[in-house]
Amino acid sequence: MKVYLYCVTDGEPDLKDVVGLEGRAVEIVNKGLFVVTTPFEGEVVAVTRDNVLQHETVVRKIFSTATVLPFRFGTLTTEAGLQSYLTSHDTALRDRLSQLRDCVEMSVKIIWQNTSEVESEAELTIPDFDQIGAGTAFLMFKRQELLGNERLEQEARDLDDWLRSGLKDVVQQEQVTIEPTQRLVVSASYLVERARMSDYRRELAKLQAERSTLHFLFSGPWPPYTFANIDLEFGAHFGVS
Amino acid sequence: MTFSPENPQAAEPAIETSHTDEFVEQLRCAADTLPSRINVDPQSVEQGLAKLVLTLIEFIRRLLEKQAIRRMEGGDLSPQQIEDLGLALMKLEAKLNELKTQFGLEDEDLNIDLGPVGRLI
Repeated sequence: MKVYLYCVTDGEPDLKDVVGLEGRAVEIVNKGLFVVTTPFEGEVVAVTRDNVLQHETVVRKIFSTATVLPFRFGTLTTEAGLQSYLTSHDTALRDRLSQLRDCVEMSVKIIWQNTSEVESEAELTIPDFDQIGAGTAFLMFKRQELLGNERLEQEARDLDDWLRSGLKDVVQQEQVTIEPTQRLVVSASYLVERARMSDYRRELAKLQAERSTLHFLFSGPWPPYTFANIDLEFGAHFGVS
Repeated sequence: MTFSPENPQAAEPAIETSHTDEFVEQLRCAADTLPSRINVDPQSVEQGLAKLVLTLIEFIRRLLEKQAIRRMEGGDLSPQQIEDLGLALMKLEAKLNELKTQFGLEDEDLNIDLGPVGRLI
């Protein structure tokens, strides 16, 4: 018998009306820290919409009243493995809980229109094939493409700096992924104190007003999945289904 | 729709955008390139391994291409050397495209996501 893991918390969670994956019971493993689990037979958790949403529902329910370190969807281990992990990582987990206390995760995604501009620029400059060979023309095309990509990378870095500078006073931590060659150029997660949510939203509204050509998507508040940093470590120890 | 600073203590997550369709499309594309396990189904294992191998070849091919362009810009290649190098890289790209077609792979399939590090290419 294995156990499916939802989250770790340092206060005893209220599990009233909480139902686990596939309608199973939700239980608490108490080792000083509390781990919210479901007994699970089998080696792999099916990746279905219902299961993913149920995992999120359980974590969010606990998160509504306590600080949590959420596990990544699909994390399975044995009871002995869990006990061993909790014993050996007690201090690290408590430190992490302390860093995340009273904070939520907020997400920002940005779409820009720059990729098509680069493609059309490249199309404009066609080498004269009467003057140069096919190999040279090929390298010239590639050079144009490379220059276009470098310009995109610079613009994406500028965008990153602009966003960072606008939010630096209202976020605790951030994890930002920039992908200059994609239309979805920015995917950012921010750790924000609950008490500063209003400031965070105000600053974002200002930034949005500054750049009308960018398309924004905001979401949250989420449990701090990005900042918990326990899934990879746990996965390395016991594996993730 | 603009992002309102109201209701800062909302516990339920909300998603706000004026461009829903655009984001759905882009997030679907992103989800398609998420790292996945190699499928050990005998009928598709060949494609999974081909994807891994071709990804590495594509990565090296792009490095070679950049190096060639830098050398061309640096002026340390004769016109004939530029032509020869260009032809070699052109054939390499064509061969890789041929292999991608054979294994039913698209360009985006070879641009694997390395998580926080970003995409490979």
